[in-house]
Amino acid sequence: MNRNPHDQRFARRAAEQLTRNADVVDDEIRARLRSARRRALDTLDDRPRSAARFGVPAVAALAAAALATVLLVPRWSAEPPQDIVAGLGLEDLEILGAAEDLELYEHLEFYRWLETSEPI
Amino acid sequence: MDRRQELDGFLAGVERRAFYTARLATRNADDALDLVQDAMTALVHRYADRPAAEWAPLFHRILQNRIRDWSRRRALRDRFRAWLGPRTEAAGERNDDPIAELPDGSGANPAELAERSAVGSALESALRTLPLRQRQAFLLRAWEGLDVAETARAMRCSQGSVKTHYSRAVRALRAVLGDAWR
Repeated sequence: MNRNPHDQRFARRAAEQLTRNADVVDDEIRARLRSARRRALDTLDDRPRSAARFGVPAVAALAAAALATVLLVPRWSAEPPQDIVAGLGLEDLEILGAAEDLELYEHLEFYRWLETSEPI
Repeated sequence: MDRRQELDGFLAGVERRAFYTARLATRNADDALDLVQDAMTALVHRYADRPAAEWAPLFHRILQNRIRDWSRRRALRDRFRAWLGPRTEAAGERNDDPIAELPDGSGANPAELAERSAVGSALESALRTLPLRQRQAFLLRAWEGLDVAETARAMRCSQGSVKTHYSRAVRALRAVLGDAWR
């Protein structure tokens, strides 16, 4: 992004100096930071279960149910067009239901959410 | 290592830099500590289950959002104060002690100030002269080592904006710091 070697050298030097500056904190600030960290970690057990842990299986189950409905209801209610039936096989279900894909969708959703979400 | 230990290690590793970044913006140790506490709590509360590799960009994003919100609130409050100030004086009401409103010297005590080099102080002063977005871009890119895409996510702006803010920041800092830093 910044190819100017002088700028790059400047940025490196500034970063080193900033690290030195940040390391200079008095005992009181150090203790208050430690305390802040402890308080934050204490919320670990209080938080609601995340979507990553429970939401994704629920979403996967709903998606599977919706897919089954879309595929099976037409079969029960009427004779489907042959070209559609021929296009949908067991392989499609396996691909759509593969765990790796669900994981990928989860991350895609996460990054999409990062782009669009309100301030956190 | 369990998740609590992992998070503890991560937060311990970023807390001083986070505090320094927040203090650069707020010029006040108490406000900076509040912002860091908020960011830590939000990360643990919402993202503890995320892979550890995602914590750093998420934490910076949260912290930068907190700093931005703090700056907006402060600007709004200052506008109201400027508007209300003459009226309250006219009404004989006591204003806040202007000395108490001054920055607290970045939370620095004499010993701390003595430890800081002139170069470090000059850099800190120069960073404070930058607009918030330029300072954010510079700190995230040059100091925290985030790439352009990660910085854009943390700052909630486009990658092009990050590049613009960063290059302006470098140019401004080099101009302010002068020959000693060339």
